[in-house]
Amino acid sequence: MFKSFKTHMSVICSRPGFMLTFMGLLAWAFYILVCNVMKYKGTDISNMINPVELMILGEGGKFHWYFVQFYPFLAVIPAAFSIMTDSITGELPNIIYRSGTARYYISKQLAVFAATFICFAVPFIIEMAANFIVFPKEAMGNLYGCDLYSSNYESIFQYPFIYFYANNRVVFQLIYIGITSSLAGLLAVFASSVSVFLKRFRAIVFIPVYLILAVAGRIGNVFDDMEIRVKFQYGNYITSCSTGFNQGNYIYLLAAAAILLALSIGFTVSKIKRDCI
Amino acid sequence: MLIAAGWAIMGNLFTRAGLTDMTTSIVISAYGYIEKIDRTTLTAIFVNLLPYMVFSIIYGLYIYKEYCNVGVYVFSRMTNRKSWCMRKIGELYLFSFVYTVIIIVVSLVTLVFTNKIQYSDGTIRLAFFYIVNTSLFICASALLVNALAIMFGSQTAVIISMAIQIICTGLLIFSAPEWDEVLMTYVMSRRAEILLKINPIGNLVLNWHSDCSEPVNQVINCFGINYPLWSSTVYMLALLIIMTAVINTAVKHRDIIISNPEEG
Amino acid sequence: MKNTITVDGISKKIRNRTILDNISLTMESGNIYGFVGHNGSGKTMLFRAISGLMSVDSGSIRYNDLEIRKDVPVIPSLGMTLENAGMYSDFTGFKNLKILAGIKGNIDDEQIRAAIKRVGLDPDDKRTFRKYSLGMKQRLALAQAFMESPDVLMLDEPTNALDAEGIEQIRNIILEEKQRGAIVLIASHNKEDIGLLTDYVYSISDGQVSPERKDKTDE
Repeated sequence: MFKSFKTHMSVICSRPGFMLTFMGLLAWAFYILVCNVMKYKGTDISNMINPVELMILGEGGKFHWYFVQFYPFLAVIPAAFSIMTDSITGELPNIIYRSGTARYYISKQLAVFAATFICFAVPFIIEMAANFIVFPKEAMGNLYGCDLYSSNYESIFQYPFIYFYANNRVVFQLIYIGITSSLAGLLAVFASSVSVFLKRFRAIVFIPVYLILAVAGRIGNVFDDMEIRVKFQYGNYITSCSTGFNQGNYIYLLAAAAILLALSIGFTVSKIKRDCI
Repeated sequence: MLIAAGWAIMGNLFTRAGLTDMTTSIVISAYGYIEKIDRTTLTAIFVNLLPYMVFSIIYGLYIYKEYCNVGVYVFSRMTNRKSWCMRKIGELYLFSFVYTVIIIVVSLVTLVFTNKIQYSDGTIRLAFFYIVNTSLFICASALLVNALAIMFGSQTAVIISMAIQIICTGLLIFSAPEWDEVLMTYVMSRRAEILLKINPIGNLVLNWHSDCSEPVNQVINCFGINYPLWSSTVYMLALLIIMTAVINTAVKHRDIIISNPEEG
Repeated sequence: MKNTITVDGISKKIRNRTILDNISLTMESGNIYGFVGHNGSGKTMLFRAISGLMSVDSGSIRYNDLEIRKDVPVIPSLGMTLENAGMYSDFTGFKNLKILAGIKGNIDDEQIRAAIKRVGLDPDDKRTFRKYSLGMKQRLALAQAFMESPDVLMLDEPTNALDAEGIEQIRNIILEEKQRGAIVLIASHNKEDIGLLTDYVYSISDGQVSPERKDKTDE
């Protein structure tokens, strides 16, 4: 199983989709870093905004909105087409007769998750390291001069995972990197498991993930109007330093992830039971 | 088409359920209604584009699929690719038109059964402009996906096309600083108006338009922006003509070297 | 060690159409078995069933003591070529074979290069699979079947699309594999291949198998 997994990882990581997404995210992170350096050059440390809020995942980050909108597509591009590529190119029988159907699909799905996770996590970790080197980690600029009852001060305490924000910014950022990368990996696995039933066009692989996230977002817009606690918009879960979003909501993300995982396993198992014709 | 119908029903269930005394023109204008521009409403705009994006992905393969597997047999028999392509574009527009009509009709029909809804003057005119503008837009975006797929493959085509739509939606944020004043004074600056008018996504939003017909103008013209609905129709038609030229070029010049471009 | 494949009364229907009908065979190491039949007779489906790629509705397939799809999912040491099978279009021939070899991890780069040379291709060829001619693709497909020195070889139309020199090369390789002790199964329309190579010939028609010629020494 491990050899199969290693082989699939090497194939996925050498594909243009993976390389372009990885390099694209890295380039995006460095562009934002350069913009922030230019903007905050010479700023007094006591006025400096916390660098966590300036990164791609931060609500105040430059182009954060674009990242959230691109996210359903970015999650799919690195690895989710892998099974369909094997099928369309005709490589599938060559691999399956060496490893067996079950081993192929299981190791492939694990590789899809791992590759997507790495594709998101590594650029974000590099971004975090660069930002914490360039900017002071302990900056609290937006609290400077605030009294105890100011709204700025109050809003900070509404951040999810406030304990880590207050005590360890690295862990705080790593939590969001972990959530974003894991969710991307799970979405890629879901798209990949739907693709086992597709025969012809790669473009269709985008639709399941996009539909699920956008429909959830649509439902979420309505629930916001009704002031219902459950947040359906995925953007809330991958945005750090977001006020008005309770840490307890992440339990709903776990539930949604469990459902997606169950569906993915179901689709994959049903394909394993079929013949390779 | 099922997605169109499902989207219309879902919109009614989640947003218009429980609302009474609606008019038909308000229902139609809701499909293109945005109050002001900030990050939340930009996300709402993008979410509202969902059925159209799905249409462009699925029908973005309508002409491209002829290049997959059977391309050699099809094009070796085809003496005039241009007329074939124009015929396909016509069929694609027909699907876009029907798709948009389904959204409106299903929405109105389901509301007739669930809510109190009254027919209002201007409904037909408003529906006409919404359907024509939207169908021209989704046909143009499907043609773009087809053209890019013929050149680069379906995966790359969808990525580029979606990226363009996301960027166009995001660019609306450049007129955002104006909106607080607009909401107070109902006067928009020239700069903001131009930014909205040149953006294809901006041209889909009904309540950033005006109309010579008073019943329609009353429903849609919330901000005193002087931008007639027919101007957007002309804009979308121009977009479609450009995409037609692009795909004709792609079809004419694409060599049939490999059997299945999907193989990568 | 002598290996045996025992096919015992296998049948398969797909959408109410009988693909394989009560087939029983025994095949042993060091022999070449030919399968002939018209298009759509079930040769490829039989290969898929024996290899383990396809399940059967009834009967069993055993490789030595192991039942295929019960004890093991596929025949443990197998090399095969199938119709319409392909490779990754944007990788070179060597890279493609390296990826496939990585699944079991039994052979190294030198053995892969030797396998590619053996079928008459250049292992240092920088062209991607997309740019190969049909004959080159066929050679590479055969290279991936031979490279791990499998105990069982299943070759579907092995000399398809090959030039005269290539046909000669592949025939020699098949005979070498037989000498090595592999069980070789060939499906072919080429009467010359069947006549020159095989020890036993089976005819397939409408999913049923019958021996066409038991042993060459009978002639």
